[in-house]
Amino acid sequence: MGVVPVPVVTVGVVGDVGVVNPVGVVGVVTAVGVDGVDASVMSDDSDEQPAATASDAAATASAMARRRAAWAGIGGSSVSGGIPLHLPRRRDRARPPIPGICEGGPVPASPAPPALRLDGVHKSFGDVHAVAGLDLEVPVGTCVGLLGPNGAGKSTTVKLLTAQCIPDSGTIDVLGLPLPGQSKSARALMGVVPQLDNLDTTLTVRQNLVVFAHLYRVPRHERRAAVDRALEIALLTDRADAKVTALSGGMRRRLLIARALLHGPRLVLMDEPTVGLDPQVRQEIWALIDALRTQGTSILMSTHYIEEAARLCDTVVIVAHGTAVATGAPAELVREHAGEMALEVYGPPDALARAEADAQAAGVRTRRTGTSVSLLRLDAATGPLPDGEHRPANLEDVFVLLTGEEIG
Amino acid sequence: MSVPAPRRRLHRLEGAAIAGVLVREIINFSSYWRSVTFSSTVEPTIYLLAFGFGFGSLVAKVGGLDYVEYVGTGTVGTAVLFASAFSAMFGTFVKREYQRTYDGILAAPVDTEELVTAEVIWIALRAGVYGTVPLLVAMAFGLDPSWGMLAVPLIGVLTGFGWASFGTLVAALMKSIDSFSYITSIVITPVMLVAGTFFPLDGLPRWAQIAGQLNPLYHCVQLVRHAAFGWEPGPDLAHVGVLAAFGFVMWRLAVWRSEKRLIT
Repeated sequence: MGVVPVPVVTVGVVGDVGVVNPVGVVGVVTAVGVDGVDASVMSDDSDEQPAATASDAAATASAMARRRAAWAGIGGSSVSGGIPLHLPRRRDRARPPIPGICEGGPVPASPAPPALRLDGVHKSFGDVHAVAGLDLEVPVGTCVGLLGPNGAGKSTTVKLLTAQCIPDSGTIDVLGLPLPGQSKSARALMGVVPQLDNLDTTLTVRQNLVVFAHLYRVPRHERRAAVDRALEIALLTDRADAKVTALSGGMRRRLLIARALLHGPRLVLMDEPTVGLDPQVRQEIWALIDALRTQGTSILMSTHYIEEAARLCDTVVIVAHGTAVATGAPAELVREHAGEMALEVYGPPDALARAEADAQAAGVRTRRTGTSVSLLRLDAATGPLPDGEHRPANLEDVFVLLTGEEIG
Repeated sequence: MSVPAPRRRLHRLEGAAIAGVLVREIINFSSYWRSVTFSSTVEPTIYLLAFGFGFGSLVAKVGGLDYVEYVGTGTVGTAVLFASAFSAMFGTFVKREYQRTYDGILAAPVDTEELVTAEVIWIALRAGVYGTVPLLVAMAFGLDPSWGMLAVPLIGVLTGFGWASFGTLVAALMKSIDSFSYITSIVITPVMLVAGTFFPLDGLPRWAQIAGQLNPLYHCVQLVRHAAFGWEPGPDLAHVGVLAAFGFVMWRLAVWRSEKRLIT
């Protein structure tokens, strides 16, 4: 760039970091602008999580009771009983079937419109068909999981629901409001937990919440209480005045979730809510999501974690290449597509190949992993099967069978 | 807890949405205002010392004004230009691409038009305040204060609105922050030089004088000088009109391109 040695007075702000051109020469302004940015925001490192601190873990147990009380302020209903950190698997719980989707044969359709509905939605970016004829429905008060590998169209679907993407064709209704025409009204009624951390890093925890209390138009007289409740939900009351940069990855994720709940949304969209978190922190987030679902908030959650979908979701929609390939309750999907039990055959590669061929000849579906072959739908076998270890079939088996892709 | 406006259809350019974005900016500003304010004060002091007394010793009067007075009022326009255009270019680009701030805001009940408008208003307000600093520094070196100078922040805000919109437009057009170098060289530098800031346009070639007349910053500088040394109602109304038209056109272009960039 040509440098013009002319005196100038330059006052600039890059991002939210105050930057002043220290030399006042036009030709160097660009470099100053880049250098002035907090390095943490210049790199796409949202998945990189600081180690959870001991206080983070210790605070969890002691603050659960406070969080239960805080939940009472979100959505207008209270949570009875404790919030388990280690959740039972979804299929072990006594849950009512979901009308129109779940097991138990035909169920009368619910008179209430769904929290959201997509009909035949297409969205392409150039030659890439990110969403290809997606049909999706989230009944009120349920948690629906979009399960798919990276690139399956999950995040695009979430963006379609916030009108940050406009569909090429198809219809979208959110809380009875057609999108994108009434997207702003719909966004006022829902909360969004993004996949990528977009917290204001120069602000404190409380300031981040205050900002979104304004953006979500929480009435002035309720704003302080709403922020305090969100702090309790996030278990961050003690860290309210800490800068976001001082938080661990788990704390930041909890703050993102609490931020989405500030205004008591009727629908919450969560885009990969636990991606990049360690197992302990993931369980914390699961407890938080489960408590939210329990108190009646409708949730659409995208994930590529099998266990997450199996534990949290009433309904799982398996997506691949932008379309839904199967929909149902996790246990039902497993029973329908993989059977009750699977047979795991181990051995050297040539033995595995033989076992796979024999099983297929016997009418059994197979799934090849690195060190074994999984035999599924054993009830359909018409011939002898090789020796192996029996194990319960799982959602991962279903996913691989239906999409041909490994996940996780 | 109440749920806001359950079925009310929200409209364009709502005050609540703009206020929400402004609140975010104001709270953020609390974390960096010291460094910006310090530099905005020290820099003009250095430039006025260097050029006011440096060139001032060679050039006694320009346009009937002491050179310090001439530069002191002229650099108001430059300060506004840089405080608005660069803040908008780099700030909005970083918030969009790196901080992902706009993803969060647009997931709330805020539209792109409201987001851009609020950002531009905030940058313009700040530019209006920081634009007065060269004037204050010039006063310390001999510029006589006048009542008309009270209008300088308003002139700065009006000018800053246009240049902040321009910066937002540039940020929405560019895919890489490195590309801003082209804009700096091709647009910002000529605009700054051909604005009557450091020397009058009279001595320039005819085509440069015409270009100067089309330069919004020239109209800002003229307004500031007239505010400081005496209004000229007719021409000043025209200057205001040019700045207002520039601001409106740039604002609409910024909204249009930002929507293209943010809503896919």
